[in-house]
Amino acid sequence: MIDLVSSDLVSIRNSLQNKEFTAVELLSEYIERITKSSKLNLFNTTNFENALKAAKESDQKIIRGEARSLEGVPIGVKDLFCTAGVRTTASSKILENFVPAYESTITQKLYDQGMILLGKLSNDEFAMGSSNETSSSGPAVNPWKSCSSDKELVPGGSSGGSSGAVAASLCPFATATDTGGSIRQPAAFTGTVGLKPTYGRCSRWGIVAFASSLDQAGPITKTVADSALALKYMAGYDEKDSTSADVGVEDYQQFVGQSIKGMTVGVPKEYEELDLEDDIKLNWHDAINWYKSAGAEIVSISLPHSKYALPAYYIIAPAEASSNLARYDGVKYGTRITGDDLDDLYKNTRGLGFGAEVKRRILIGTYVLSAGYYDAYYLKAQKVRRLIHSDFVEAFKKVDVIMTPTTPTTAFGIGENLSDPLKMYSNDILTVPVNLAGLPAISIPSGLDSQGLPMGIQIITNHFNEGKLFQFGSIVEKSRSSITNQSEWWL
Amino acid sequence: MVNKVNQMTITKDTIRKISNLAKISIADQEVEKLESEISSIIRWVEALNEVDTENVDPMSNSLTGGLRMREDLVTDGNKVSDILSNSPVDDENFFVVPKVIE
Amino acid sequence: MNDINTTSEVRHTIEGQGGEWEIIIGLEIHAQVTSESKLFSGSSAAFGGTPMSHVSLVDAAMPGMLPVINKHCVRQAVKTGLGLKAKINSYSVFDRKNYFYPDLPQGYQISQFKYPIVGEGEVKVSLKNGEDIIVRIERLHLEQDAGKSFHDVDPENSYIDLNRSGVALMEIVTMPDLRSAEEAKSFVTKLRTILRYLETCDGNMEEGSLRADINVSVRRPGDSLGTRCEIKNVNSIRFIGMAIEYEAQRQVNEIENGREIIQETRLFDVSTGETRSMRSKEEAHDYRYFPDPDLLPLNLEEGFIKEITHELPELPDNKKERLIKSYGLNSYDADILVSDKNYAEYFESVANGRDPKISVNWITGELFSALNKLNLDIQDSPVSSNQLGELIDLISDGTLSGRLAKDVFEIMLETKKNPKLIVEEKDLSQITDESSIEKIVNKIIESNFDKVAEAREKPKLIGWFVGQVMKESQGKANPATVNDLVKKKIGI
Ligand SMILES: [Mg+2]
Ligand SMILES: [Zn+2]
Repeated sequence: MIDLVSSDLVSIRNSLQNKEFTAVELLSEYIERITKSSKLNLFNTTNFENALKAAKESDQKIIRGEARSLEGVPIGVKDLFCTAGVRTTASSKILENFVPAYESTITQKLYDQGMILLGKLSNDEFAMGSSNETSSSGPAVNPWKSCSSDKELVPGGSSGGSSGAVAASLCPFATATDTGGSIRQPAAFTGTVGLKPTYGRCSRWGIVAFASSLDQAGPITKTVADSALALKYMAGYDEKDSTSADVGVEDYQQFVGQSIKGMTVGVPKEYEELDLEDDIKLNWHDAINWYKSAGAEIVSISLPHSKYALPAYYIIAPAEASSNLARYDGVKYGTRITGDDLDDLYKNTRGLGFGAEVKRRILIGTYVLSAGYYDAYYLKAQKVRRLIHSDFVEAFKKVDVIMTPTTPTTAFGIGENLSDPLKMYSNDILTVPVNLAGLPAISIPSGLDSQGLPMGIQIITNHFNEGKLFQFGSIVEKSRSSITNQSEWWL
Repeated sequence: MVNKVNQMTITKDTIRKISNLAKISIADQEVEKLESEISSIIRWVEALNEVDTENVDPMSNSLTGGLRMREDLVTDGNKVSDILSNSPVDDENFFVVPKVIE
Repeated sequence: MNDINTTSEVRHTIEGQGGEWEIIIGLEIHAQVTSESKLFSGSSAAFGGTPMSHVSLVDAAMPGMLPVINKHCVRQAVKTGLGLKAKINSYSVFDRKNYFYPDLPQGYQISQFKYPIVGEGEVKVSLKNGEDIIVRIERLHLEQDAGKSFHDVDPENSYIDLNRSGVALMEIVTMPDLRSAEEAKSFVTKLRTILRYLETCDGNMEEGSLRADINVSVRRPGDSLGTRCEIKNVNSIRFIGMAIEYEAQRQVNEIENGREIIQETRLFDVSTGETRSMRSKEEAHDYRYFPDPDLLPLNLEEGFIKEITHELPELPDNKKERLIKSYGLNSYDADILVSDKNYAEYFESVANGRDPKISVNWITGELFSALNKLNLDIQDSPVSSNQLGELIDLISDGTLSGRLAKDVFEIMLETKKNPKLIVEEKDLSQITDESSIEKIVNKIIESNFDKVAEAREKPKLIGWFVGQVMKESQGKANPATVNDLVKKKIGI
């Protein structure tokens, strides 16, 4: 019996390499646990049969001394990453039977290190959402519950399947994507570590696109050290992606636990004014003290245009999405719903194949790009985007990192925010500016609120400086109180 | 100077026009709901009008350095079965759609 | 669109019932870039292929697929821009043009809208009447071709092949500087010649490598521009002329009958020679152009452009000027020779050390008509430039008369043999020796004594005697010598 709950990526990797258990034994434990966890509704598709075959091969490699860096370690993959021969749906009805003939660059890189695909994890449809409730396979469920209520909570979104699966110990590491906070917010809601690398750090090739200039893949893991290890193998230049940056990948684990003495942490004064839950504010102030104790200097900084990030984001992201999702037309692949003629085929396929949130965003995107409105909305938002970016550039002349809470609230109940899109969108208020500026950021579990729900601290740093995120992230990890989920109610 | 754009109101007609552009069928009873939702979102994003963006260049990507180019080599193609494997309707290697009238 | 042509002079009009009308024409030419692979993917850009064989996952717009630009296509666009004497923009941007059509798998075409790679340029066009006009180029941009739809395979369905999807096109847009079908045809011919010189587009219109969208409007001379109609995708120079003539006349008829011209897209019907409205495309287009977020702006370094500048070949205008200057050719002959760089190359090889006028006459006369009959390009001519040069030498040194030379040329076409060898084998060299010719002349006069007196009355009959002598000598006698001798003997 392997204790999956107290295992993390690094420990599992080491145990496999030290032959403490076999890849097949490990996989069987995960399969059993996943099977028992169906209440959480985190997997769109499982890949157990193929995984078993792969685990046997991994064991052979380990025996022969040919083990690769992550040999035999199972992984969960957000259902936005195309996986060859394994159904990839983006949690949308329009792709419900889509089986790609190709493998995304990132999953291929991870397989090349010996990782084994457990299955495809739920997400908000086409990554549009902050609660994982817009998935065509129904809402994913947070393994955490408030101590005062039995209601089911959202695991955050759009990578709610990934955050939920890592939090429930259904995999030690899950891939995810972040367009406006879709890695960091679910990580904060589930007590996991979520890393959004610099835009261009990880290849987008083979990942179903939401908003191309903002989308970035990253890992969700249990620890900062795991995150550093995962990034090492996800990151890297890809000539198939014109927006992949040819910037050297470091051995990020060296930064974990490194001293921050004499370094500077920026705290944006505008964020003090935001409508944050009291516990989250308090937790943020605690974190300031942790950094002071660790020898860092706290600097008040200004990000004057950050408050315009959400409106700018809700123009830019839908605009790009309206175009990116035009390919789902029922002609070449995916669901086709016919009618009287071709125009009907298009409209029925897209009208019935997309869910409400996706349609809403496509319509907003179509509107802000249409003749007469482009300058007033799209162009205006791109100009504001530059101002937001410049704010950060200025700030990073003064500080090493910027520290904020990840979310204004802890996990909310399923169904609670669904009827009010604007309220739902406000979840991303602290994470969205980072995507607009293309910066790397990480969310670290930083404690539990008075309801016993996890909170997260977000650390942001300059482009291609991910090392600092792990360096500063480990301070939070070390300083916070325990965040173990006491009840495994879903099992 | 603060840019002020004209108040642009979204009507049911706007919703029908953009859903037609986006090729998304919208049931009549949905139109009203979308009109109010999208109106309120558009009103909300108009907060951007408070920002002075004169002489600010738009930014469509955070990466700088320009476009990388590849060499002119044939490295792909001849994967007809991969192309057609998810196709709803195909015949003789063609995708098939209801007749297009020109 | 910029305003009307700088030259307000009326060059051409057509006749309506109520007076003269001027036709205003602007063209958008889609020229397929000559390249091995597509603009944004590594699949083959070759014409043909079994359906879907030249298709990558990118071309089929599979989820998560991304474009990576082909450097050679960028070079080709820059090269073309330089050939059109145009401004090369060191900063350009790829935009998405959004619309739904089954042969457009992404649901958008990657094109360039606000910032094209090439700006304003010009093309000099020589008209049939000997005049030159300047046609201004507004811009050139790079974009993707769409796939191909087949509407006549099945009564119910359209069939889509994506082999063309993503092939690189240059869209070359002119200012509305053309004034007649003839001018438009001459312009496209000249543009095609330039593209072929540059080797940036093969100009093969049957394969769709060059297609024109034609904007036509009419106006009373001196009036401001009328409403224009756009005729889409015309794929032969002859059809371009026919489409313009039909459309201009249609517009004149409409206006003269009190109707207004509606700005619309029209289709040229090859079978009827008419243009008709594309009703299905009338629904308002709103392409929602925006910068493609999968691509960054294209920044061209000065060195890159300079390198291409150095690779530019001598272009038709310069070549024409040089041919006139170094060979003393007239403008007409020079135009013919530069219309295809292979003509000019052939000519320069023949004319090397020989009389240019005789060379050009042989090429544009005997050779062209032979090639035409054989349906061959000059590169595949059975008579090489060296062989034609040798033939001209045999005329110059008196070995062959003009007539004999033509006979020899015919044999050269058939046998591909060198003219000297043919002359030897067939013993065809000219008889110039006077005494030999005199013998034949005497023989003819003796046996036709009755006609001698007649010839003295009617000197035209001299020709008959000359002909008989030539016949007797199997064409080998020097005609001038024969002529002189006949006259002398008969006593004229
Ligand atoms: Mg056009
Ligand atoms: Zn075009």
